[in-house]
Amino acid sequence: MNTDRRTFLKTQAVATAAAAAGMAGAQASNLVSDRSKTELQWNKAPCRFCGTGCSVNVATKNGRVVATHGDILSEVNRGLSCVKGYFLSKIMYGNDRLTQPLLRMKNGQFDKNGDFTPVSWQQAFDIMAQKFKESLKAKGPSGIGMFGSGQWTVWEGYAASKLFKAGFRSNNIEPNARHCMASAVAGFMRTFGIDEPMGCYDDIENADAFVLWGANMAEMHPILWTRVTDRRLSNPHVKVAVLTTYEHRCFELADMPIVFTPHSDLAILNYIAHYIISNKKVNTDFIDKHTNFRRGVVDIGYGLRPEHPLEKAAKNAATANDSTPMTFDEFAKFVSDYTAEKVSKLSGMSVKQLQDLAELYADPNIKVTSFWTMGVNQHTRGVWVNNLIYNIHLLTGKIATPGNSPFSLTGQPSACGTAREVGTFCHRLPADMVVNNPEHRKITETLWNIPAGTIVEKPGFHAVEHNRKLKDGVINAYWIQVNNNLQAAPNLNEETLPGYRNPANFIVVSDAYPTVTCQAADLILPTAMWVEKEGAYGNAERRTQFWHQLVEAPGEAKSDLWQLVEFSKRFSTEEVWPAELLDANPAFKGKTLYDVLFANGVVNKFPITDIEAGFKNHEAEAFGFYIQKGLFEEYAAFGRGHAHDLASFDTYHQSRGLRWPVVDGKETRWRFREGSDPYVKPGKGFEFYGKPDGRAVIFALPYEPPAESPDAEFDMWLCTGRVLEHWHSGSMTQRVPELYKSFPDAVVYMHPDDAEKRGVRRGDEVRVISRRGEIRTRVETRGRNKPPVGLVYVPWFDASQLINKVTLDAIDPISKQTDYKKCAVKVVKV
Amino acid sequence: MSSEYHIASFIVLTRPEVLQAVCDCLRSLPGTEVHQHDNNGKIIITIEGDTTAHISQITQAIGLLDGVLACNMVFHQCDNEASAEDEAIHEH
Repeated sequence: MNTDRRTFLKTQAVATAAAAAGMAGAQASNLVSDRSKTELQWNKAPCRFCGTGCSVNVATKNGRVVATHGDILSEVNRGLSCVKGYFLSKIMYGNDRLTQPLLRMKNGQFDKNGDFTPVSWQQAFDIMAQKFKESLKAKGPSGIGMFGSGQWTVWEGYAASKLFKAGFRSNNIEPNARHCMASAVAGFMRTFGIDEPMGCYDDIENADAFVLWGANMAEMHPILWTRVTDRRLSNPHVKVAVLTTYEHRCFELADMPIVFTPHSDLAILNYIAHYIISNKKVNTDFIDKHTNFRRGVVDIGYGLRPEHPLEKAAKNAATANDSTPMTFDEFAKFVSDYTAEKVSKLSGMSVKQLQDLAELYADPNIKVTSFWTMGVNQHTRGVWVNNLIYNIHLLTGKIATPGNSPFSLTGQPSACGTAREVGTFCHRLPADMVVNNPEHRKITETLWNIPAGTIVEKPGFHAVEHNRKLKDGVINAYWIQVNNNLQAAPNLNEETLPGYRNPANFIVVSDAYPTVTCQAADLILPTAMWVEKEGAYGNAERRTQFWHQLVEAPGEAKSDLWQLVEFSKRFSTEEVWPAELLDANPAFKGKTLYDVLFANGVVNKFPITDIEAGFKNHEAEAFGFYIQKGLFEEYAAFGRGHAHDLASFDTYHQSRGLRWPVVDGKETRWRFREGSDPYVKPGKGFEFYGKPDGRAVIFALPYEPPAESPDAEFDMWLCTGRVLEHWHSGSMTQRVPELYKSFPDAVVYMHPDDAEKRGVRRGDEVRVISRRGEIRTRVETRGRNKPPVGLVYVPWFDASQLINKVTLDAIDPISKQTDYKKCAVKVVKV
Repeated sequence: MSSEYHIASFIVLTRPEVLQAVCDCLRSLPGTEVHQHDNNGKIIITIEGDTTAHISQITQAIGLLDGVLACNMVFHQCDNEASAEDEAIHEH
């Protein structure tokens, strides 16, 4: 290539970066030259990885995705792309992509101990339907289960939830968001009565201080971290406090880098509340008008099996979510117990650090945005920590205004849009409704046009219980979509794998790649992913984003949506609904679940001709109607007029996403504040309308110890999590050669003193052992994570080092979310 | 793969007080050029190389440098040495 050409490309590269950086001298650059424009098709899609919800431009050529780059028109990422987003185009083209259904067989028959053998979709659904019918007959609706994901598209989660809750009359459906966002959901519902953040990413450019409560944004939300960094560097008065249990990359920016003792966040937050009150910094007008005080139930256990000594000892495990009213004075007295000296001892923070941190919240002139993710949510008192963070924002009235924002970030691309909003949890229905509320069931049954009494009142088993019930043989037919549940499950050797391999059980896994979960399954269904289908995701700031199908899936791979809807054709109402229900509603006799749920006059209302010209849509072609639009519009009816308003289907294909509630075509950036949120009544100023009296709740909740702490034998804390290069279990990113090479194997990060004490050095092989299991890995004493003495960090993306053999299946008793951040281990030289 | 030419641009964020040190460090990396920076610690660089692996290795190294707060890609283009014609940008 000649030098002129290289210079030209370089100039273009620099100009584009300068434009994205907003730096002088930049001019809008045409990214694509004329010739390549004719060869490449560019379309928008949200990134398929984390909950940030960046928009990317996707280039296709000859039926393949060949390139992606950050979308300059996106308000979220403004043309930037993190390393995972940059390699998005490669995630669909791993060498071992699954392209046909595989069934364990011996002598031409299904055999739990047979080898995976290619079968047709017909054969796959034959055996699957047979197993589900057998389980339903033997055990009723609680004998089957499904585990989905915050990576389902909105309509896939909706179709799955409807198939289970209305079709099979089983509430045993859960998303992997249970492991990720359940504590955030319960925190929102308890404090505000409505799920999801009141603020949005625009808070970043308005805040004077950022406090990270257990979120390594530099690696897990790199694009949002870049916006925080930009804000901090451009405005020297801005302060960044990073609270964590080990030093990580966010410390590079931190004005207040803070390592605290695991679990002591409960005490730190109560100290801050005490500081605000004792220094007379309470916004009394705000709390008088807009809050109530309540005392939460204590001694609530750890969600372990009922026979576990910790559960037997817990007084209030059954009533963990209860609370009683209290006064402000009683609350003040409650938190006065959390003195600086006492909390300093508990947390390892100095009194000065505690005071400086508290002052950020207390000073009325500092606008504070608090961010948190898994450090808070994956916590046996995670709901409490969510509540306690809201406490300090509510006491000071620092909420729902630009820059003042308690902001719960999400892990998955549609943890909000699908798992939470659609209601794919075992206790939920769309738009924050729940199965054990008769009014909510009635609304749902009406919108779904199914007989009254179809939806079962009792919530199903939650995620960790699914594993226990599979092991115990209570659930016998189980379907997993869009996630690597075995690798993700806590205490997997004792609780999860035995259930998958239980001879009484039939396990189906839909995935694009042969994960460890696939390997433990009986039937594998090859799955279309990302832009191989039309989709919608909802990110952490309530932004709903759509994309079109841009390429064909390989071989016989089919989307989760096609699988769910096609499978529904295999069941008649007579096979799954009780005779009394059908006798009382004879119009439903002789129909399939497909007829009742999907060809119901609503979901099949929109013709294929509604699809935007130039785009394929495999599911619409297969079923004969624009099924994504039908499902979306039926679903949107739940939220419109109820503070969850979504815009029309077609709007989203044209926009870079909109933040709900979308009322009169306008999105809502800050909820609960008059003038910004159309649901706040005039004259109210603020209104937390999720609660009947419009008041948010400030909760008195104490410090209680973790389920397991280091002792003489198991002398270290284990914290697990992610790394920048890999997303979740690595099922996609491990197949991108560049990402694999940059972080091929998990390691155990530990303090050099701890290594020395155990006679090991950087690179040495060690065993990480808990009471439940162990892995072999190698020591890392340098690099991005620097744990304090007494704590080790192991990422969980590596299928050859299953760290969840080591973790404990203790959960938050309210949210049922696992604590992957705390258990006791020892590290031994091999 | 030696017939491929890759160029990518990045925005690197660093603390203003270590900006010069970080720029020096960046310049020492293979195929890396510093083009522009502002007083707030924002730096625009390009990385050239003959594989995407080279670019991602350098990117990772930059992300872990002392003083680097963030490093994100904006633009990437792959050109075929054999072809004088425009090829797909960002292609890999």
